[in-house]
Amino acid sequence: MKEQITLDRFEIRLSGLGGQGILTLGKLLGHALALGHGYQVTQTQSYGPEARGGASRADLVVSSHPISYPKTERLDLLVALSQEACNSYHHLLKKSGVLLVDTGLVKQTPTNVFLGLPFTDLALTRVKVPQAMNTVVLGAVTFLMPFAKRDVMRKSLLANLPEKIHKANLKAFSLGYDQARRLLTQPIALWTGEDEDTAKRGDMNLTDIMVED
Amino acid sequence: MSAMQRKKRTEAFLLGNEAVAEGALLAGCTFFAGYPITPSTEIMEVMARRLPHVENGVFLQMEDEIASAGAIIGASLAGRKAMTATSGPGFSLMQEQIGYACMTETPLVIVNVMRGGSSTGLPTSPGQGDVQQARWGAHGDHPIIVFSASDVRECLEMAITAFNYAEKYRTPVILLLDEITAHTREKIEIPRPGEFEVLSRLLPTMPPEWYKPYEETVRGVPPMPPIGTGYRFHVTGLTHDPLGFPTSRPDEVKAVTERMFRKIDRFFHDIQIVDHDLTEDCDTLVIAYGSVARSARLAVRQAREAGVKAGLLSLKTLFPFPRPQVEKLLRTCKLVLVPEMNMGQISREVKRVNSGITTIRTLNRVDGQIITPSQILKEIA
Repeated sequence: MKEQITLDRFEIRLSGLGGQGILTLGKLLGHALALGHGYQVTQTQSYGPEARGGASRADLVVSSHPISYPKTERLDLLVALSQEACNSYHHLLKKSGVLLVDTGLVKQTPTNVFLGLPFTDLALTRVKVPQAMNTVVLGAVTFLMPFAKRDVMRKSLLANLPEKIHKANLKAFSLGYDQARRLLTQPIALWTGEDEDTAKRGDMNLTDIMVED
Repeated sequence: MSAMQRKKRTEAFLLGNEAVAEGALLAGCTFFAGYPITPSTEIMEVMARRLPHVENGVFLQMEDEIASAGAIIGASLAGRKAMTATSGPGFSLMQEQIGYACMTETPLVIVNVMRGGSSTGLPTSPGQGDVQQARWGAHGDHPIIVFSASDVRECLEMAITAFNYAEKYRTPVILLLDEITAHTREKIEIPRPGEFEVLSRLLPTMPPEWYKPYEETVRGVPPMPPIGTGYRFHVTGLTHDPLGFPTSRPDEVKAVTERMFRKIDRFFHDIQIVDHDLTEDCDTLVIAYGSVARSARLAVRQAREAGVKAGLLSLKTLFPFPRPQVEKLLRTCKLVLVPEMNMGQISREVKRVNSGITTIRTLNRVDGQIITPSQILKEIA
């Protein structure tokens, strides 16, 4: 069982294409972390004026303390569900940050330090509901984040989705969690060690941050 | 009421826009007319879902923003607490009606979620370019109240406050948000009825035949009956006499115009709401509003860690511009920074108040992105 961990600005970006359910995933994750886990959370979003397609992303800041700046500056977790998203946002990760990609959609990662699962493929072949891809991601992310609790996430998932899609999404959630547990690094090994970026936040390269947000 | 207060409040994970709608409903709003536009649409969506379940609740989707503003003026004259929500392009269309509401002293709440750019601009990106338009968009001399909010809790609080002040002063109130505040989700506690003040307009107490709709009163705010309750009055955008009929008699014109200003001017201390953060001993001040105030809050903390005596004055009331609060801090600070997502609209007001007292620096960003804490920190530390 995971312990309640004190957090100071844990920053997450979920990114990909319009239509992948990224804003919904952001809402689900934020809802669970804020109401279920009891953290302070700000969830913001960015999307283009197009009805579908185009870049889409949701950002979350999770903290045990009140959050002033609601957007992300240096990421602890980047979920990239398209090649373009991975290329655009990879440089915003902290040194100790974790990159999680859909290995079916992100063919070329800019680093060899990353975690990946074929989320879209899993949703298609194992859940047989391609739209449940974002819930597979939620399952995997729940396993990876040391402060996220599986049962709380499940509860929030059910609270936020209409009943007729509960079954498929529960299946997708468990699949994502189990796949991550079997194939990815133990969460305890992640997000440890002194973060160099935070240590010298004062002389951070300003132009870096100003590119996005 | 005490039993209700002991009950646990509801926690919710809401968008700024959704919190505005919740606040409006808590304040007693029973009428919403609007035309959807990004990034304000979620306000309309919540009202469409919720108003049919409110007693006498009316939700109307109109053909455009001109009609939306017209509809809420009518509803307000009929005694409703009414609201609409829009963004820049729609707000421009509403200006003529806003002037009409000022002239007829009709309480209204108009939410404008600011996007980037002029015209159609950047529909999904933030901006703060409508600040001076909110004050001066309608033609002619008129007083108006303009509020802003920086986080989700403030969205709910300022929506309630907007309705209260509209009713109290018989005036349109503009609630200016930006896309970031509107589209940020946060955890808030929804207060229970009885835990906050809800104000309603004064009704006439005299018999209908004695009622003069625009008569001078002690506060300068005449009582306002709902249409259809036996009190007959004439409503016109023409400058009117105390009975509400058109006049061009200089003494009557002067009297009504001056009273309209006086009813707001005399209560600046009540209307001008600001938040102080570390300003007691600061010599470097940031003046900000909306989502930029949140960036500034972090920047000021970081500046303090770096040894700079920084403070933040965040403005919840933009107009009437909170001159007394700003002026006091200008006298004790050696540097004042005004960061805004426009080319300098509130900084104009700060400079006007300043008139040479201290150094005012501006930080303007108009690329559709938020001003980051680091950008602010660079200017003050």
